[in-house]
Amino acid sequence: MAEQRTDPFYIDINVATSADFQKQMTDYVDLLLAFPDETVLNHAYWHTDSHSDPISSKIEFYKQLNNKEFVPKDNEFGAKKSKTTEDDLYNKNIRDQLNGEFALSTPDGVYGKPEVSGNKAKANITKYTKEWVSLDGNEKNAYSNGKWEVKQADPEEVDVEVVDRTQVMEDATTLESTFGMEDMNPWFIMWWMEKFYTAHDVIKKDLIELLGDDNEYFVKFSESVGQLKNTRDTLDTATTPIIDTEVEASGDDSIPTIITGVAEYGTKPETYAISFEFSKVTNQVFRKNMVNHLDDAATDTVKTLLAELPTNSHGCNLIHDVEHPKRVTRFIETIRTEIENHLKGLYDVLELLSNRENFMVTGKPRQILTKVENFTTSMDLFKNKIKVHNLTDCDKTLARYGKGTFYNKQYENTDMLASPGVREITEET
Amino acid sequence: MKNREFIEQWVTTLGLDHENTAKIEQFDDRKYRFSLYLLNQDGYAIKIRKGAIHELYIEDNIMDWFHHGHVTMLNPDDIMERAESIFLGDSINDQAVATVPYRFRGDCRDLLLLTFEPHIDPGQPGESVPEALDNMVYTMKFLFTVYATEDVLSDSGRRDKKQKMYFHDYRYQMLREKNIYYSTARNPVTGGSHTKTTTPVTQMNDTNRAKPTGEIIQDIIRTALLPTDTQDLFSYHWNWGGTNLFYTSPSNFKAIDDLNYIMDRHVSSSDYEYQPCLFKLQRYTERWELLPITEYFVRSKDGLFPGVYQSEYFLLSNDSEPDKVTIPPERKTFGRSVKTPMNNYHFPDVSVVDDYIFSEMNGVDCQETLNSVIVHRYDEGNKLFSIDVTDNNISNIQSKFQELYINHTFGGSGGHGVASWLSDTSRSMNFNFNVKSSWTSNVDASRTVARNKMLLGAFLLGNTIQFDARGETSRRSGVWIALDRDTNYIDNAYEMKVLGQYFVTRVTHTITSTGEYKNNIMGVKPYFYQELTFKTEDLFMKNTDMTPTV
Repeated sequence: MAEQRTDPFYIDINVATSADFQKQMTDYVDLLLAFPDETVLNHAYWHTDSHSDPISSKIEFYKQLNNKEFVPKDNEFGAKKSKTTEDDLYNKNIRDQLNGEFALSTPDGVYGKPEVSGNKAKANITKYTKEWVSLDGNEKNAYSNGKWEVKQADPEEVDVEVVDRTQVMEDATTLESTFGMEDMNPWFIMWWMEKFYTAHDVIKKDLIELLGDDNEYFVKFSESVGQLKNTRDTLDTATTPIIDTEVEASGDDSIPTIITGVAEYGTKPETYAISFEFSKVTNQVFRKNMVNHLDDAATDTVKTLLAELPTNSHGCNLIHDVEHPKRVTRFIETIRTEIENHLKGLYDVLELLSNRENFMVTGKPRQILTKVENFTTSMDLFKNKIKVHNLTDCDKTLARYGKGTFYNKQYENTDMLASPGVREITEET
Repeated sequence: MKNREFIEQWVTTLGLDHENTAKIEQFDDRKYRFSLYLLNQDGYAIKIRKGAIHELYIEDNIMDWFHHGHVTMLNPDDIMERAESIFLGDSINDQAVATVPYRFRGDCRDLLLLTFEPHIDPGQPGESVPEALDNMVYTMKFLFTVYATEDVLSDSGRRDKKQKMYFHDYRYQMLREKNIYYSTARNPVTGGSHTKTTTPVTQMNDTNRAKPTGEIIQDIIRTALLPTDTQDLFSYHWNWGGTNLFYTSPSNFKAIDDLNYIMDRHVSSSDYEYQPCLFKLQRYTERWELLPITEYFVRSKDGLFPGVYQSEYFLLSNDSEPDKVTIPPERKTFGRSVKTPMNNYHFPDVSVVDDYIFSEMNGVDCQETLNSVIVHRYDEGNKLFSIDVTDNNISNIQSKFQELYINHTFGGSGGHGVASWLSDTSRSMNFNFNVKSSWTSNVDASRTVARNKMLLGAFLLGNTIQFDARGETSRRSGVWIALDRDTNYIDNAYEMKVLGQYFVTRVTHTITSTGEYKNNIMGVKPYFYQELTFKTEDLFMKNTDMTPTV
């Protein structure tokens, strides 16, 4: 099975402020299944922005990350809000789907666990009768005055159509008790390194002081590190024989490398390939001319040498160190082990950089359904409300997190915030 | 407590009636409890004595739901605003009370408080002060605001200078002033069985934002006026209307504009066939009434007896004694004997009509107003353009008029009267018609632009009587009076036209400088006692669909 990867940016969009909110109030939950701990990390990091001392909080955050001391499980900043529970959020989602006249009916009152079977929830409805009656009782003569009389009936239990929660929302999120850089795949490690490199100078300075220069992750690191492991680089004009005028004596290994080492990491494969083509052609021309100049440097006269195996001195046959690639290849395991020992956790990052691997398992969503006040709203990754051109003005979003909203209608704050307390209603007399 | 009652208490506390707490005043040979005070919120209050009144004129008109009028009082040397005490220099004691002059505010907050009712006690000297009558038929109690004042000069100099004040009901003034933030969307309809919806307005459609026009009228009044003027003061028989309207008060509208706008669009409920309604603020009880016109007719009689809205029974005075031998003509009214103090009452010296003006319907009104109407309607929703021809044809309107109204009158044609106005072939065959565009696509609501205007016009533009009578406080608009002869007479078409019940459209109460109290009463009678067989073939009939070739 392929290792699951995703672009950490998709996890960092901060659609909700904690994992429980994200699970219960949005349908952007695939990442909670695949990368639950990473998601909590991002929520917690966003949260540091709103701490009274973001600098210290961030330093502490990076420290925990480096030392595998971060606690995703029930993390108050990223996993679980202290003032609510997922059951309460479920209750709220069902209640928000009910029209104002319905009150959710559960064994524990309005705020208990909703009784949903299929797409029906139990709710109560209270009916009123407003009648214009005579002020004088049964007397209804020509001079009687009238008044409105409002009577309240007993609540009546009804089944109301709702959209129930999904299995994901029902299941508990599996979170580790401790989590750190070493538990993440290289993409996320790079993501946090990048975050760290672009953090405030004080954060960088103080964290390094705290962890030391030789800590595992937050060190000076670039793709130039570990250049030795790139063995193909050793086959260059210095290590391939000049007598090979057609540049094909050793197959593909005959062609001297032009784009070397770390430069290759960032080169397009097609550019890299054509550099070999060019290398082969130019070296053919170069060598065909140069081979005529093979000479015995030890004499004063011109003494054309025949092409021969490199038994002569380097100055005679112009072949340099043919043995070098062989030696390097022989030691590659040692080299890699050394680099790995040195880089520790960052070795995987180096591998990732040098292998140019980037494939997605978690796709990016076309729309995210999110709870906005008491409504379900559809938005994109930038948290903009979606306008869908092939839907009509009457098409509404699914109502899982509250009443559905129209896709193609702009809402004002007052539309979403309107509630009985906000609306002005003339008092009935 | 109503506002008026509060002011009354305040005036009593001020002791302005110190020498006449019973407020008894003499008008010709009758005694009335009469008082008129001018006061304002700054604490200035004066009593306007009957003797100082040059003219008091109060008009009660069915076309205005409120009372209004003017009063001219003697104000020599502007004493009203200058007085310091009764006699300058007198010491204040039990006999002489300090008089604080009045100070006009001039912002419609100068109030006039009027009480006027018959004094039924004989009032022998030494007798205790009688109870007030306080009766909804006989008592007039008003709180007016003075909306304009005027100094009236006299030829005889400043000692005869007068102050004239124009007034109308304070509730009308409030409606003229108030901008209301009203919308039916903010006050959704919740009649009948319902749940308390919290659906935001944005999620309601226009139908859900609409409510019956009758309810809007109540809402407007309740929004603009003080709670004491509306709480439990709406009639039980309030007609909620047959159509709904989604209405938001425009920012440039005062409450009175809103009220007029909705009244223009109000039609009765379907059981009254979307007919016009009359809006009225009842005097004394201060109740708000919105009744379909049919209800006024229904209340004119109760079988062969007077209905609850039959008020006074008038007799036409007669110079000659007719022949007593002939068979008496059919009675055109209920007769004098069936009476209660509240219905069909008759005062031998007061309920008498000496002379009267009888106005036939104007010919031009009949031909140019009461004709067929072709109503254009357009539905923006489904792009449907409709034209109503049949329902608004004058023949059909006339049948409807007969059916809705005249069938409830006291008459001799199948137990009821016959509509007194005429249609003819030119009008019924659409050679003489009007065209109107409706403000709505709803056919019932569109009655307001055509049929209802015809019904109202036929009701109010028809045969009218107007006469002066000695003053009586019970007289008011919006009720019926009966007019009959006590003596024998020779029955003919004229008597069938003139005798019977009149719907009172206007009453004025006037007190003059001589202390006389009189009424001018105007009433309409849109029916004959019996069918008088008019020809309905138009004398000037011309088929205007054809132009003769020369």
